[in-house]
Amino acid sequence: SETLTLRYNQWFPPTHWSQVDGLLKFFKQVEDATEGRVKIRPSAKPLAPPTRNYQAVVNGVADVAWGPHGYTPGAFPLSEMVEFPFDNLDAEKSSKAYWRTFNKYFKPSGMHDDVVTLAVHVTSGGNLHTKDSAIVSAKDLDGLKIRVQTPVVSNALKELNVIPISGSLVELREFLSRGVIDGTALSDELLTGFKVDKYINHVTQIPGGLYSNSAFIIMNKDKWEMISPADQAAIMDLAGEKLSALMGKLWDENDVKARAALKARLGAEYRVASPELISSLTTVFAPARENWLKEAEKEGVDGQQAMDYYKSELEAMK
Amino acid sequence: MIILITFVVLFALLFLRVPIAVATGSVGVLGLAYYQGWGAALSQLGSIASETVISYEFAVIPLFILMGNIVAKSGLAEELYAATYALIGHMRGGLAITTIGACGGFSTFCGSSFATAATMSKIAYPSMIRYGYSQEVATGVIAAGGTLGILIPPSIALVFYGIITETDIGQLFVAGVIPGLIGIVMYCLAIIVISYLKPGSCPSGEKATFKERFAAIRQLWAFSMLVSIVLGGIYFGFFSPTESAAVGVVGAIFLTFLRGKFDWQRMRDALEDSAVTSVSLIAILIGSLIFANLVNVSNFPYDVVDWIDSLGFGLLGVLFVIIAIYLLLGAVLESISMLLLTVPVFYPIVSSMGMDLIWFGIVVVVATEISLISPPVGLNCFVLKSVLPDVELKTIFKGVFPFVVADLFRLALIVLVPSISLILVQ
Amino acid sequence: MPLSVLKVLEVLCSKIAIVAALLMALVIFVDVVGRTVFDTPLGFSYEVVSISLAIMFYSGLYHVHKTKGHITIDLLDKFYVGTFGKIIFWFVYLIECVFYTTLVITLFMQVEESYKFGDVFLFLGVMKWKVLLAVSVFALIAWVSLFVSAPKRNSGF
Ligand code: NA
Ligand code: NA
Repeated sequence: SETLTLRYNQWFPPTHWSQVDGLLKFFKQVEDATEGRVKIRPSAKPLAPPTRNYQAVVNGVADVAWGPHGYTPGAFPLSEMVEFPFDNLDAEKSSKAYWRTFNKYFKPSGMHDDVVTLAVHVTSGGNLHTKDSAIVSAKDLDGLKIRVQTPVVSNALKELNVIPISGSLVELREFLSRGVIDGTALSDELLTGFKVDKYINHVTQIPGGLYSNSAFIIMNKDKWEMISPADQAAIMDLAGEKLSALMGKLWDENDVKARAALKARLGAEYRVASPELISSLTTVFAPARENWLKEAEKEGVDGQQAMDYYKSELEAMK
Repeated sequence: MIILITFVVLFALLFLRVPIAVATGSVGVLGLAYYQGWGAALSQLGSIASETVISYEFAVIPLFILMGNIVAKSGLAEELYAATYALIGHMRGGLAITTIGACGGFSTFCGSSFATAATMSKIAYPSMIRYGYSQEVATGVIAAGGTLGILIPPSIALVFYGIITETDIGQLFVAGVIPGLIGIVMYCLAIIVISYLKPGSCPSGEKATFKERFAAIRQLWAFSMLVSIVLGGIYFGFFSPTESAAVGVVGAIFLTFLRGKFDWQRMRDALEDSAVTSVSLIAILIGSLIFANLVNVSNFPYDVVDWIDSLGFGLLGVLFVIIAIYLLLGAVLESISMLLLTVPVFYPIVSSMGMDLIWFGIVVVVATEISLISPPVGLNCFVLKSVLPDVELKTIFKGVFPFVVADLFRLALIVLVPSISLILVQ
Repeated sequence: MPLSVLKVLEVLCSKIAIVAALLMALVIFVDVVGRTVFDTPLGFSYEVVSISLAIMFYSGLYHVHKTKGHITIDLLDKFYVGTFGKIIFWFVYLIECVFYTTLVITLFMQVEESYKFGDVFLFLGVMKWKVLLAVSVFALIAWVSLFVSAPKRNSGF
């Protein structure tokens, strides 16, 4: 029968491992499983900016997209559950648990209703990276300028007298090299991936992450309908929890690699956060967790139940 | 096939003098509707028309234009030129060479050739005209000088290239230094040639006395102060280049106060001018981005790869074809969208043929530069046209011609002698 | 539309464009000074600047439409004279009108989409659809300028 060629919005560098070993590999698997009836081809340049991955698929600008939920703050309040600190010790396991929670609690409430969801996953947890001063206890954060990604992290760190600086990842190198900021809150894998690790002399690892990112892999509904039920089943067999886990695993592997490289260079200056620092961080993030439960209720989801389920699934995988 | 038709229709519309933004935008939307349906096409128009302007990155355009306008209207620019004139005005093409030097200097803190050309046309053009240069030479020098900004670090183009190809951005910056300097030298040679061929359009002045020269240098303090605040702030880590534009604006306003030249009416004029100029430039950016999406969706880039493969050329032949494609695309695309569109497609080809990706980066960026000033359509020339509405576009293209020739020589050098780009990084 | 209303719109748009341009410079400047001197940067400066740019663009578009300030390629101008030139002019004007009409409609479509989507500006906490609505309204006002300025433009030929 005829070949259906789908267009993937390639906004991330096509040579990055998340693409080569993750999505592009999945696309190849889809092509093989459907005996060439469904092909997914990356666009030569982005068809839509990173902030519009989801809407581009809804509108048919792109047929398939991968992207972080957090790039459109406010639009996916439920996804923020996996972004809270300390839960993400291993991105593969967290991604599996996330996929299960998504299906059981979030999807029925109408999240991702206007697309076909192929996967949801988390990326590796963020640590604190600083240029000149080590962060051993909470008072070391006093007065530091730290680049943060989300208002949740920004508001929490403000309570510890951090001066949060917003700014795009592209500007990170410039900010660090010119001393505009004292440090960042990033995952180790992003730090080395963006080649800014050479400006960092101290790392404080936050077990389970200071924050995590939630991401989706989605397909346009009309295009999905054009695929035969047999091929749909074949694709779903490759997607879902399997694809979510694959993406999470890649993140974990690369984060472990980056961590090893940083540890080799920094020695004792790569440290795990002290219990005292963890307890301070727990306190300052508490209001955000409370707030999320209210948001979830507005979306028609019992937030406490979903959070408990997510954690029990994680616990079961240990 | 369809994509070739859209190129033909686009050029027809452009020459019927449909505004560039409208021509690229409407052909883009029609083409997208053909490939993806009306829903997706209209959604892309709306999305690009809003996302492009709700953007921090592009704020650099109006801000640098505004700084230039304030400098131009406050008399600072005249002082700079009067001083330079006293110093080297008696040399052949002295003021034009100063402009190239100023463009090079400005490039060191501005990554965008768009902004360099816009700012320098505000500062340099009126002075060159006043000292008897022809419109042709004056605009040609500025349009060409503006392209220096794309190669001399910091360069937005090299940053994008580095991100796409995962090449070290710092090394790319270093590699760009010698080709950038060669560009400045060749432009100066071009000016000297012009001054011999057409002495009337590029006059040399009378030699100033020692006393006049000393007075001229003393006059330079205000301008030097502004430049050192903007440049020094970047190098000592007080702010990013984007922020330097805003600091430059406030600094320029402050200087006009200090010198007692502040005037509300002039300030309003400068602001109004900047808004109007930026609007017409950003409109072109929107149209160009829509058209780039069409090229993207049409699979044209992949077809080109298949075609190049089928030719069976060696590395030099492939480079020649790629450069030709760049010169063609530069007719309608802005430099960054051109890079985003083509680099991911081309670099695997040349890389598999054993070409160093840093070297290829420099080749690509220089080819992009040429496309910005080459007729019939070159974005830098439009920048000038919008800042200087009284000058005809064909005058600008005539003026820019010697520099295009100089650039082609430079590109040939860079392609034939890889060590020009690589010697500093090895 | 009566002339006086148009005049008011024109003055208003030009004032807003000027204020937006100045605001961009000042907000960034205050942010830089706040950060380097007082250790208190403005978290929202990114967002204020990007919104100002959008407002400056669409309010400034009024004037550019009115004065035919869009950049065109004038290389073949000498051939477009007499009746032929007039036909070409109206043809071009028609394309412009269709394009900008479509643009304004798609902008309002973006407002609706963003309203449903529910995204917000991170640090300002403002719903994005509200900003898009303001932007679209300015685009609509600029569109009016394109239509009413047609006869005047033609007299240039
Ligand atoms: Na530069
Ligand atoms: Na060109």
